[in-house]
Amino acid sequence: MDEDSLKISLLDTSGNVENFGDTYKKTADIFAYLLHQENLEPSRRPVFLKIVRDEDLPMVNMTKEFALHLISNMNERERKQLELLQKDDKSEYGIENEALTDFVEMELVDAATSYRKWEYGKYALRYFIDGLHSSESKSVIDSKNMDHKILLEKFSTNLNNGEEKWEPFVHLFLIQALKYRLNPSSSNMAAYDLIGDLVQKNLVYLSIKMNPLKSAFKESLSKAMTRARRRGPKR
Amino acid sequence: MNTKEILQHLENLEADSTLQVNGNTYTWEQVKLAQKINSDIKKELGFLPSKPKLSRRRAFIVILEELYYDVPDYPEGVALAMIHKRAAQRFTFAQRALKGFDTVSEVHPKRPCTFYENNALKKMNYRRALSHLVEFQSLFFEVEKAADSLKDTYRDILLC
Repeated sequence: MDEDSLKISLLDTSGNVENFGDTYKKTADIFAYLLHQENLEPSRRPVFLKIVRDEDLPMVNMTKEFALHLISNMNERERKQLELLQKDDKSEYGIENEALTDFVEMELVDAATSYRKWEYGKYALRYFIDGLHSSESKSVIDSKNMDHKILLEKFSTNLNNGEEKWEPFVHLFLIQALKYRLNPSSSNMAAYDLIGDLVQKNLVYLSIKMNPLKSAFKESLSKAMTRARRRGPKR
Repeated sequence: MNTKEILQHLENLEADSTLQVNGNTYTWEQVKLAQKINSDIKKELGFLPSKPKLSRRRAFIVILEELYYDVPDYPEGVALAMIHKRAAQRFTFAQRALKGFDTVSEVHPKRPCTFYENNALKKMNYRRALSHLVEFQSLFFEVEKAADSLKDTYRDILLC
């Protein structure tokens, strides 16, 4: 059998990872740290390590949540091994613990930066959309009178003309977020893989800018909606 | 790049219907293709070409295999520090103290079945380290023969 056609199961993110409590907190912290650290100046890394552990940053939290889903999808044997490693760990951050860090790096980070990178990207978009809490527009977006193509075009133009000048990667994130919102079941791996890359590289930036990003998204969307409604009689 | 171009790029990315995931599984082939077709747009977005991200132990294994796949034993005096340096030039991983391994054989033994004879846990970890490299060999290896030889080692260790 051709090895390339070997199947990988989708990550099941339906589990309630809150049930884990603090059991895998250090693992999730190490995961988030390892995923992003190389994008920071070496002198900034210790601060980032502390931020990951102590602060409440949206995209960092999303990343930790993703780590917990990876754990919950592990087989029994792997999870037992991780549990033991965590139990034995007496270090402050966990990262000082060679065996634990090796495990997280090999079993979780390597997956999230290769074959599950697109799933990480998709998870980030879902997290962003869920965090908007904008149910008021739901019926309008989902109505049959809304032309999605036009909506996306208007939305993109509005982003371009908005007050805040964003980097292209931010625009890309927001446009893909709307695409996800319009059709969550569309699972094109290339686009999600790209999002996975840019979220991983800009984890801190996207976290700090989360509120302005949400505003930009909502504003561009609401302006676009009034103009994308189909004219003429309903079919 | 303005938003119009971005939208167009995203449309293009999604044009390839083989990258659509419909059921509960996807394949390595799709993953590789997805990553490949992203490279152009990444350049335009200003993503500098970066070294592949790979865990430290796996990075060490790639380097060791490429250097020594065709010899039965490691030459004397091969130091982990040298392997570490080479690995860091090729791959991105977190820099940290090297405490867990003393010798190259502990990272990537020449005769793993004998080496891990009495340590099932370490053998399992080693097996897992190899499986990812074998599955994604095209992403990580520059020397094809080394990739093939690692595949043979992986087959062996699955059986012992």
